[in-house]
Order: sequence, then structure tokens, then C-alpha cells
Amino acid sequence: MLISGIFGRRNLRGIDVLLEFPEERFADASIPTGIRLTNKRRYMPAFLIRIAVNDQEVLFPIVGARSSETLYLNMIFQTRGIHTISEILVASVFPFNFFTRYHRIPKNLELIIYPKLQRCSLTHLLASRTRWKGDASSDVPGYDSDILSIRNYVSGDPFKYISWKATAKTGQLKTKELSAIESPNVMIDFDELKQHDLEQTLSCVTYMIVKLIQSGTAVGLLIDGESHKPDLSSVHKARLLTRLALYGQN
Amino acid sequence: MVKINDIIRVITYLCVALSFASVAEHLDTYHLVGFLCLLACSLWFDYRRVVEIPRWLLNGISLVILCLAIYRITPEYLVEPILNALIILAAIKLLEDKKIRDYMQTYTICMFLLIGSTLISMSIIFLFYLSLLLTLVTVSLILLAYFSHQPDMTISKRNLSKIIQQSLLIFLLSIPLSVIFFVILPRTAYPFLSFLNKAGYARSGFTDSVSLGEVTDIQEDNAVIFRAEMEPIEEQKLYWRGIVLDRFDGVKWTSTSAVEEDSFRDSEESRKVVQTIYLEPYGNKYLFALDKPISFSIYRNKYSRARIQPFKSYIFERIRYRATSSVGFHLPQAMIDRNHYLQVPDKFAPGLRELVQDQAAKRTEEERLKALMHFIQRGNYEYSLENLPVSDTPLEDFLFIHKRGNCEYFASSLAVMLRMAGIPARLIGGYKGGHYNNAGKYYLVTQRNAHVWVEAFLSQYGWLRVDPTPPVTDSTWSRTGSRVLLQLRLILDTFNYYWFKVIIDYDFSKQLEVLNAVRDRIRRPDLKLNIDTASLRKQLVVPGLLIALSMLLYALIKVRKNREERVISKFLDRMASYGYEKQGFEGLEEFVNRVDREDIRNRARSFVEDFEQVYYRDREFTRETIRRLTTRIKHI
Repeated sequence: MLISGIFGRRNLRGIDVLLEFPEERFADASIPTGIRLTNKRRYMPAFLIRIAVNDQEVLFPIVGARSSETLYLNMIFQTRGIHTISEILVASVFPFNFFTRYHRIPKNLELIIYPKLQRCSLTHLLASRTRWKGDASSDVPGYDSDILSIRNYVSGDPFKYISWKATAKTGQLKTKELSAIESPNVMIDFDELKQHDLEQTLSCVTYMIVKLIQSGTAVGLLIDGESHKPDLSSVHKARLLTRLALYGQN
Repeated sequence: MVKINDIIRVITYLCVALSFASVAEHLDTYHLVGFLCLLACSLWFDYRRVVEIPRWLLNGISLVILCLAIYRITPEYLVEPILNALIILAAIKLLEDKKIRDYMQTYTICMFLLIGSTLISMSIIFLFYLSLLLTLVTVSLILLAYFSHQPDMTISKRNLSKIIQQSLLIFLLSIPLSVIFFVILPRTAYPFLSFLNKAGYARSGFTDSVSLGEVTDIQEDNAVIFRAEMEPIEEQKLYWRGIVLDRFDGVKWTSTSAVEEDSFRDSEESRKVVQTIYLEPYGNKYLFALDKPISFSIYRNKYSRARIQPFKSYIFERIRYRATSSVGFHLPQAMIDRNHYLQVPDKFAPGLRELVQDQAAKRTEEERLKALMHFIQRGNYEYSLENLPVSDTPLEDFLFIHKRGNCEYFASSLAVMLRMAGIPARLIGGYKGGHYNNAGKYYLVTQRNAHVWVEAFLSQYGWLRVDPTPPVTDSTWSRTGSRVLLQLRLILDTFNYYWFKVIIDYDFSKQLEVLNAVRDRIRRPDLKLNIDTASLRKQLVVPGLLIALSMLLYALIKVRKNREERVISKFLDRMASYGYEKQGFEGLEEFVNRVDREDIRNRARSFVEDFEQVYYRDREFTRETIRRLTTRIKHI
């Protein structure tokens, strides 16, 4: 018993646990969380380590001495906003299945959970928008709109974009460069939208922001009198989603 | 990959087989066959996994077997029925659909079986079985911890070997702790459970009476009766005294409780020999010591030295005592109750009486004794353990018809004839001879050494030892092959001897001895060591040289690792503690870039850059540089 106690105690020593979250975390959706267990001990492998984070558990059967292993856990947060993971519970029944030995690693990790992604009535706007307003071509090369220039053929160019006319004129293969269709920027006036169900509106707006940026439309947001100019960058997206996540939570 | 459940099954079978091996010799045929059949069935079921026998049925059968065992128990036959039942229970457990608790129950039964076997006999082989069983159970318990999380878990062979290594480590570490507990935990000098093993010891050889004419053959028994730790002495003096038989009823010699006072002093030529005797549990209550014993360490012999006071109870537990003997052929004594030692049944063997009167007419006591000894020694009498006379008049048959017998016949004849010739005589039962074990410095005395001789009382000398039995050529051991066997047995017995001496015999009194010794050492810090410095110097030269040589080698190896290599290995050690191992093909920068934790990566990179500044520019690694780099490593 004494020896098993000593071994059980040693088994939890020199162990570090690191949580690896994806960049975007939405409420009520499973978040694949990497749990990286590092066994810092010189000789003894870590046996049967159970890691519990927020009532979710993952089991590491054996992690060799001086090595790490990552296992994934699907975590779900029901609500948006800041969630704190104050500690990680490391437990093991090693060596014998008589007692479970626990060790709590304090973490004080703050996670911002974005509002739940929810398809909503506003989304039909996105689908029908092009029909109402038409497209605007941009300066960015693409394959959709007007000819920007004619250049020399580079192997790999699709045949359908070869300018046969120019080729015939010059005797060299030429390729048409077309511009891409640029969607007009979208500005979402959140204050206008929030009418009945706040959470539903937040979810809906979150969904729209994600979808629009995914489709290459720059999105801006008017919220509580603050104005965020339309942009496509991921930093901007994170800023908007964080603003929505923390809305009404000071 | 292997299934954890499969490994646990294999280990469980091994445990059951091991505990079976430890008790197999004590099982009766029915249980033995029953166990083997059940084992075969469970192996087949486990292999084919076709039938599942309902648990209630197996539990019911187990209950019936337990009840039968309890029914068979008697105070004299206590352990065997339980062992027989337990081995069947173990086999039944193997038949069940195994869950964690079933495995645990099986191991518990195995443990009980092994412990139960020690109640019958406790030889050193127990240590072997115990270590093996404990190792197997430890491995299995760890695997069961895995099993409890996920019953169908598989594991790579490499990881399995890690688990096995760990369990061996647990087992090895538990040994020194067990030794410490063994030494310090209080224990009694009188084991509580000794009543349990009465049944195992009903050995032949030494008896507390001598009956003639009852059996034709005597089986030789090689069982050890005692070991006597002492210096070797001449073989003809090796008579181990046990019991005085002074009453003869015509067929049987028994011991009366006649007590005579010591009224003599030791003859000066006799030598005092101290023996420490480890007496095996042989089921009787007589102690043995070299002829003639003066004192015993376990009690004050309230009788005379001629009679050894029997132990207070039957000996069913190995006991140790120290006896001091004055080794000699005679026991001087002035006064005895002559009539008591001249008693012969009335009208007993008239033919013999005539013969004695013929042999012993008109001579002195000494001459009469010599004449009767001469009669037996020269009368073509043969020593034999076979074809002994079975009749109502065994003594006469031996002397006049068969002329062959064992020591009981020779000694009885002489004693009776002496009594008839007016010389007080009695039989002494005990052991003669023994094999000296040079390694352990003790005599090994077995049941085949059991012997009976005569003591005759001559007024001039007192009690005199006379042994009419012709010297026996030890037929079994004298052949060359058997001599090797004997040597082998003595060597093996040495291990047993130390096992008993150090482990089994360790009791409360020894604990006190150890405690006192420690206390004395503490009280006398100015302990003077009386050591022969010259010999010590000689003995220390070789190990000293070896140590110096290995230190030198170590230093050389260490120097060969230059400063920068040491810094790099420190750095790699540090990184490894975060779980980052540098691969052989990786460069330092490449390795550092791979680190996914930004803070560590940055700090590691600053070290690598600093290191490379010195290393690739062929600058010298000065003390200052090394210190700086080491500080950087510490901060990672």
C-alpha cells in the first residue's frame, strides 16, 4: 500500500498540461480542444493519466519520460461571453485501481466564446442581394468580370482564357486576365436589428459576419453607437465577434 | 498491439498454476483431478468463448464445496480440507465470465492457498512462490487499472514492457520495506496459528516407547528432525539423547516418571559442547541434545541430566534452543534405585534367563557386562530393517531364531540380559550420528538417524553408555552417486537452514537483542575497533584501486566532453523537460522553430543565437560565455 502510494504520487509529479483552443470558438458548438500532456520526468513514464477540464475527461494511457502527447477533447460552452477555466484536474488510479489520486493544476485561463452561430431570416438578404444591386468589378484579378489585361501564356492557364485573337496577331500564346467581381461592403447596424430576442439577434449577426467574410465581403458593424469600418482581415473579424460576444456583459 | 484483457487472463492462469504447484502435494486425488478438469474446461471456454455458465450455478457449486470442506474439518485435520476446497474454488473462478472483482477474488484465493501451504510446511521454496506470485499479481493489478477504464483497451508491446518494468520496480522496492517491517513489527515468540498444522507432522523414526514384534519392515525416512549448530566432534560421540525408557513389560519399553537427583560431579576429562538446536515440528514433546545434556536455554531442566524434561507441549512449530552437554561415555552417579532398573516381568523368557546366568556366573559387574556384550557382538546377529520377527515373544525370536533386527532388538536384548544379570540397565532413545554441513557449520540429523542404545549402571562408573547395535554401513549414502546426492542435499539444506535461522526463527527476543545492540552502540560512541590493520590494508588495496581506476576513467570520459558540448546537452535537457526532443537530423535553429509555445521558442532562440555567435565564429568558450549561456538556459 505504501509503495503503491509512493508510485501513485510520483506518477502525478512533473506533469504539465497545456490546453490548445482553436482561434474561433462559438457557443453551443463543439470546440476541438487539444490537451497536450508533457511528462517532464527523466525516467518514469506517466501511466493512466486522466485529465478533466470542465467536466470533460480524456485519458492518456502512457506518456513516455520526457515527451509529450496531445489528445483532443470536444468542449461545448452553452453561452457566449468570457468563460474561465480556473484549474485542470489531473487524476490517476495508478498503480492499482484502489484509490484515485488527484492533483489540481491552477490555470486561470480566460476564454472568449463567440455567440452561437444561427442561420436566421436575415440571411436571405445575402442570397438575393446580387440580384437587386448588381455586381461591381474590382481591380483584383479573378475569372469573373471584365478584361484587365492580356499577358503571355504561362503554362497551366486554362484554355478558355486564351485570347486567340491576340495570339493570332502576335504569333505567341496570350492569356486574358479578367477582373474579379467585388461585392459591395456590408455595414450591419446592430442597434437597428436588436428588437425582440437579443441572443437570437447576436447569433444571427455572428452568422452573417462569418458567412460574409468567408465569401469575401468586407463587413462593418454599428453597435451601441460604435462604428467598425468594413474590413476582411481576421483581426477585424475577431474584433467584431468579440464585441458581439461581450455585448451587454461589460 | 495486444489486448490488455488477454494478458490479464494469461497472468491469472499463471497465478492459479503457481498456487496449485505450492499445494499440490497436500491435495487429495479427487480434488487434484477435479481441479485439473475444471482448469482444462476453463482454458477451452476462454479459447473458444462459446459457453457462458451462469454465475448463480457456479456460486452454488462453490458453496457446496465449501460446506463439504467444513464438514470434513476435524481438529487434527484442519488445513488440508480448506486447501482442497480453495483450489477447486480457484478453478471455478476461472470458469466465470471475468470482471475486475473476479480477478481480484482469484488472486486472493491464490494468496490464501500459498499462505495455507506454509501452515503445513514452510521451506525456502515458499519464498520463490511468493515472489513470483507477487510479481505476477502486481503486473496484473496495474493492467486491471487500465482494464477498469476500458475493458477492450489494446496496448503496444513497448508500452506493455514499460508497465512490466514498473511493476517489477514496485515489487523490488517493496522488498526492503518488507524487510524493515519484518525487523521492527512486534511479534510473539509463540505463534498463534501453530495449532493449525498438527496434522502435517506424524512422522516415524523417534518414538516415546519401543515396541518389539509389531512390524516386519521399517521404512527409512529422510525427513530432517533437527539441525545442531556446533563445531564438529568425533563421530563416535555423536549420540543425541532424547528419552529414557526404563520400564519393560516383555514386549514394550516405556518411560516412567522416576526422578533421580543429580548426585554427582562432572568427570574432569569430559568436554563441554554448546549446541544451538533447530528442532523441526515433529509432533512429540522430547527435546534432544548431545549425550549428556547439562542445561537447556528454554527452561531449567528440573530433572536430572539423565532425563531431559519434555517440552511443555507437543512440538508443532519449529523451535530453537541452546543446550550445553558434557560429552562423555559415562554419567557418574552414586545412588540409584537399583530395583527399578532391574525390573523384568516375572517368568519372562526362561531360556534367556538360563543363558544369562550361564554367561554371567560369578563375575564382577564389569566382566558380566563385557561377557554379555561379547555374546551379542559375536553371536552372528545381523542388523536389518526388514523381516523383523513378528510374534508374542519377539526378543527370544530375535536372539535364538531370526538373529536379525534393528537397534531396538539389539538394545532391548542387552538391557534385558543386563537386568537379568543383576546390572541395572535402561534404554535411551534418541539419534546417532548426523551429516556435518561445513557451509552452515551444523549437523543435519534426519529420521534415519533414530537410534536406541543402552545405559548400564556400574557402581564404579555410574551410568555407562553401551551400544550393542553393530555399526551400520549406510547403504543409501555410501554409493558414489548417492554421495553426490548427499552433498547436494547438504548444500540445499544450507539455504533452508539460513531461511529458518534468519527468517522463521526471528521473534520478539531477537528483536530485543537487535534493539539492545543498537542502544549499546549509541551509548558507547568511543567504540574501540579491534581490527588487524595490516590485513585490513591488504583487503582494502584491491577495491581501493578499482574505485580509483573507475574514477579516473570517469574523469577522462567527462573531460572529453568539452565545454560547448556540455552547454548544449544542458540546453537539450532543459528543452526535453518541456517535452521537446531534438531529433538527430535537426539543426539547432530548426529544432527551436519547431517549438510551438511562443515564450519558450523565443527564449530558446535567444540562447541558440548567442551560442551560434560564439560557436560559428570560432570564438573561445570562456568561463564568462559559459556562465551567460547557462543563465539563458535557466531562464528558458
